[in-house]
Amino acid sequence: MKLLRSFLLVSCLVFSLATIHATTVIPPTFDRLVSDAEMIFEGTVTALKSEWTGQGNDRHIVTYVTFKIEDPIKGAPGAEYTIRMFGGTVDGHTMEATDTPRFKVGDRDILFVENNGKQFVPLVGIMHGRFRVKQDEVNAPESISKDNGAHVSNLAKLGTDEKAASSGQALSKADFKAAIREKLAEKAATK
Amino acid sequence: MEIMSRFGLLHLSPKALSLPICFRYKLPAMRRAVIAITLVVAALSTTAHAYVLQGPRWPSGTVLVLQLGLGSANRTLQDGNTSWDTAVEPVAEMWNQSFGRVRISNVFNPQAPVSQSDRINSVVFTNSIFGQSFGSGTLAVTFYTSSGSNMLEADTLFNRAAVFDSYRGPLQFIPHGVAIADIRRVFLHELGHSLGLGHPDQGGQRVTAVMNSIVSNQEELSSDDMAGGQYLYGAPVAPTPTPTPTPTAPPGGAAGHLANISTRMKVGSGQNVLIGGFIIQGSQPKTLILRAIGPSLVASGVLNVLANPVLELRDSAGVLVASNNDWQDTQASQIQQSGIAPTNALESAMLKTLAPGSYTAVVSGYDGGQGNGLIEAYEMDANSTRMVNISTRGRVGTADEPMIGGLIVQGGVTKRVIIRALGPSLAGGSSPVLGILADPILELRDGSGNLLAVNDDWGGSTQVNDILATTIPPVNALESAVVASLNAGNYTAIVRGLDNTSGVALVEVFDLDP
Repeated sequence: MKLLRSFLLVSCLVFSLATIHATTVIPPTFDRLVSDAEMIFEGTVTALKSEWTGQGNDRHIVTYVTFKIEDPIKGAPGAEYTIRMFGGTVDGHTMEATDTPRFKVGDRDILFVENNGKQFVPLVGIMHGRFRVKQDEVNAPESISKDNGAHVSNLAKLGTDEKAASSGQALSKADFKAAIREKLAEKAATK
Repeated sequence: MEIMSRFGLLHLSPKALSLPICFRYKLPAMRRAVIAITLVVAALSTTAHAYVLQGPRWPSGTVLVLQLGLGSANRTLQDGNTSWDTAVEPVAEMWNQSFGRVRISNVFNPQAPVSQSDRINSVVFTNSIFGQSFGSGTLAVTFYTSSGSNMLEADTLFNRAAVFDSYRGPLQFIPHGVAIADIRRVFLHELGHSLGLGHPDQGGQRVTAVMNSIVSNQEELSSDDMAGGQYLYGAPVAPTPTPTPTPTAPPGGAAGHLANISTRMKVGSGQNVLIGGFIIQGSQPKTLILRAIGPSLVASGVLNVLANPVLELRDSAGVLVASNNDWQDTQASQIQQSGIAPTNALESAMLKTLAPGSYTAVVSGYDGGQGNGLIEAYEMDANSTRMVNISTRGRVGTADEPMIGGLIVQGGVTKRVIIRALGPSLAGGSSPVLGILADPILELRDGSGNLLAVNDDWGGSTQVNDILATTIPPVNALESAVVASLNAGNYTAIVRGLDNTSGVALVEVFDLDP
């Protein structure tokens, strides 16, 4: 019994040391990503526009990122949806918040959007609310990766162990979207 | 319109870059494979640098002044601090020790503003980012503004709604597994962003680093973090105390007093010559040695020295008291006997016994020459008459041409002084100076180069009441002042321009003791 207690204690310690979080953002779990997002969709970036906004001390640059909606998963984004991001470049003047995702035309993403227009980066968990769609080879199934490029293999580990979430075979886009819809259905059923 | 990439440049160490060179030769397939595996293992087992650069960086010579306005913690934190500002204060020096061309200084300013265009680098708690919410789970955000490749401003905003503490050692967690944010660790990372570093792990690298995107038990800068700092800002150099020989100890002088002043800076022509001022206060004459040094500064690593300095001493009416070109021209034996004769024959010195009053020592270059020079005044006796104010006016340059004032405190008790760095106020008065330093920054360092105090604008200093109490605060809000009680030893007061600006400035030390 004593040995078992020691094992459990060591296990708890190992788990707790592995439960690490981003410096600026505590990464959300998959459950939180789905539940906190007001809108989830797959889309392709079609336009970017940066401009100054605000007055006096609040004057800053924002960038509007417009997506063509390929697949609305939660909420009703319509055929096109634009998010407002803090930062960008106007006339050679750049404002940048570190740790925030950067988009370019043609990017294909699955986004978990919250507080668009009210939050400096309107994604659940900032960079953790963006999943990139990629296809490594022609005819290969599309897979997803996090904003930092790491692939996603274990959704249960998101937000608790980011390394474990990326170890193993990459999740396909189809499986990822199916998991989101399954989670949404679970939540709807428990309401 | 192009959005600037955060991770525009991935820099690998030469060791990693050297890998392809090994494959220049055609080798049998099996042998190639063995070598490839060996090289990969070798690369993984060494500490390859993987730091990532965001793009812009601070110009060389910048003093990055952080206005710490985090305020009181309203409780005792785990590391004993009761203020968030003192908890994060050591972070600047942790980074300073890893590079040389940029210095980071802290200023405590409870009213540190947050604005993208004020060129003030604020570190504060806020409820929002320009009116936008942080989002749940966001602890802190650093944002910077840049123009081209130059960083202009960086602010770190901590989320007031998040829970912080300050502690050393492994990460701590509350019972259900969420980490307790250690504010010093978080700021060490955020300041790395302010300097221009990104996340190595997000560049696909696997190294131990504070700059990784995931906070961990790493609470000190790793070799990779420091390598990144050095790539941006060069290797650290030992602070350069003003090269002043120790003067002869005055006999029987127990009371603390200012025994020497020296200032090194670029000596120009016209209004840009080096002007040292001092006041002798007391009832008896004071014997001094004044020196103007140039060529021998090369031995201390100073570049572009003043080849042949000329020294003039004038009284308060501007009347010439004495002048000297080469120290051996006159008084050679007396100066030699003092033990502090210049080491180069082209340098200047004079031994003078002066009545109480105000004096100026002017250093210029022979035949209009220019370069870095040093003016020094040494007390040669220990009577009750004292030098109570010593000052130097000259041109502060950019990068490696700050004005460096040195002083020596002698005696068995501490000496209370106010040190002022003036610029804008020199443009007024009956003899306005052209091309003044618009916004001086003052650092006080001990003889080992350790930073004792720094001030940008004296009104924003935590010492503002002490400065006012001296009755001689600077008259312009952009000028700097530090009040200090100094033990016997050597000190340097370094004056630079905010944002690497240049201009004519004056640094002065007042003896505040009765």
